[in-house]
Amino acid sequence: MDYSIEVAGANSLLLRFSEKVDKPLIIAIGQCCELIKQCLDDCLIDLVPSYTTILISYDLLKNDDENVREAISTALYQLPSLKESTFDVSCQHKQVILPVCYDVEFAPDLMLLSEMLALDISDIIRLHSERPYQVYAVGFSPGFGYLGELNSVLRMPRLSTPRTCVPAGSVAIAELNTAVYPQESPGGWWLIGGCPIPMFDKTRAEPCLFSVGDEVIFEPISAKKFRQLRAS
Amino acid sequence: MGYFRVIKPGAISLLQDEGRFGFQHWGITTGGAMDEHASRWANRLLGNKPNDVVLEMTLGNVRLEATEDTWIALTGAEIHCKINGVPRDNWQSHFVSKGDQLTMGWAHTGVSAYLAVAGGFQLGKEFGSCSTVKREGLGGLNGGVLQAGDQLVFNSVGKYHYTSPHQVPPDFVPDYTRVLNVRVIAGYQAAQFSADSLSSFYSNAYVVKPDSDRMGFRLEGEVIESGVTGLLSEGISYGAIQVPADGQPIILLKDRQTLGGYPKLGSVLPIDGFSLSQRKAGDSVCFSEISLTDAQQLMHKFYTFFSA
Repeated sequence: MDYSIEVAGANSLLLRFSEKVDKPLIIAIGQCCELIKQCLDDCLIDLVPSYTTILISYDLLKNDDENVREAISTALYQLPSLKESTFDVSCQHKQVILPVCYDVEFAPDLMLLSEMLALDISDIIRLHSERPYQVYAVGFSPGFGYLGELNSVLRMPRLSTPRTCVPAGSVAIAELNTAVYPQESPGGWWLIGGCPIPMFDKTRAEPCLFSVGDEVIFEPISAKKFRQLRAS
Repeated sequence: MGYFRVIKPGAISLLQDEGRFGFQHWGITTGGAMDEHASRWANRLLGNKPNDVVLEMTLGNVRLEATEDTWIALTGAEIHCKINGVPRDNWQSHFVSKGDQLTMGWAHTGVSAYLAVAGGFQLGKEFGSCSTVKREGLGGLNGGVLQAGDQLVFNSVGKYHYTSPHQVPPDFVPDYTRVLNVRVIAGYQAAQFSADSLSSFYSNAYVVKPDSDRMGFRLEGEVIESGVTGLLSEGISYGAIQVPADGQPIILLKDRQTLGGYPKLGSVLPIDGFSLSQRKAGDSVCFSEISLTDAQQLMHKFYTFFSA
């Protein structure tokens, strides 16, 4: 797989795979992370995959720049080229199903969005929930996943005035991304639904539901079901 | 087991270790002591492990009472510590008796003072670390800043045998009032900044802005033009120098967000980032370049020294 390496700090390198975001690439990046973990083993400190890059931080007492570059090239040599038809993207990532209630009580921007896009609310719900999304990045706050790619019919710029307080669990869209706010926080995305399952829960066996490269599917549910799931 | 009862918690006092590693892919930042030079010396003075938990007292103004005899060490910002009203020197270890009151004033020089206790403060870890990150509600006693009434627990000192105070050799005591030269490892999008912009960055002094915090230090000075637009969010390393549209650099530090989409011209040598953390609003900072090889050698030496 083609990539370039940039110096990101005294003990950090940034692998850059492409300038262009796409689904096979992000799945391959998720796969690369696993290979790099195996190769660098206990000299790895942190791995941050995102869109087209992976930031690698390593333990300087165990390795230097030259050794790490060598280990990375060994690790990535095992990955076939994205251009080769043998690269199978279907079986290498996890699928996560997230229930979403699109009722207005969870979706303060749905009415306005329907007017601005000249689409029925039911069409917006269908367009948002009919396709699977890939996790392109996790960050901004713990468990915040940048999911894409949204149907371009739903494309809207961020709100000109961000909200000071978006409730936890809000399902939102902006540009070609969609996301679920893990915590109550400020935010400038359009709120179109609510997810009753916490995106991040430090007490859960799996605190974060997904990693970069995984697939997310939104499943429309009723307000009643939302309350049942939230209570459980 | 004994503890320090918190009488006055201070402005921003946080329990910190080396930081929380291995979870940035979930958006969890590293946190950790802002000034590792000072925090590591505090632990070293007591024969602690480098990763033992210390109290980072930003701006000072803390009052504690000991429930048991122990040894402490003070490093970092000068906060004029007194034990039962008697002034005690910074960068030194001191014996504390049961019932003693430790009074720390406002930071005089520097920003963050560190208090270590023999064996380190004892508390549960979250995601492998005790470091407090207020924004994420992780670490510390309750995920936030120290509160009056908190108990900072330490193991009984019985197994430690200190016969005299230990102090940091004068050569290792930094002067936080000096104009800081921050060494920069060129990297990230450095090649996309114009030569003029980079030369202006390296030849002018920048001033620390008041809205600097644990996430990042904001600087003000000559505008740097990046010519880079529409960057996709990418991982941010410790010390990354980010240049937003206004051309004023931000140095990203321990509580930085894990992803960012602003162009970056490199990152600071971590030991200089630690020194930067001790600079106050209005202090001047200038930059010079260092090679990656030299930077790695210096950091290797730093961490080897403190792990010995």
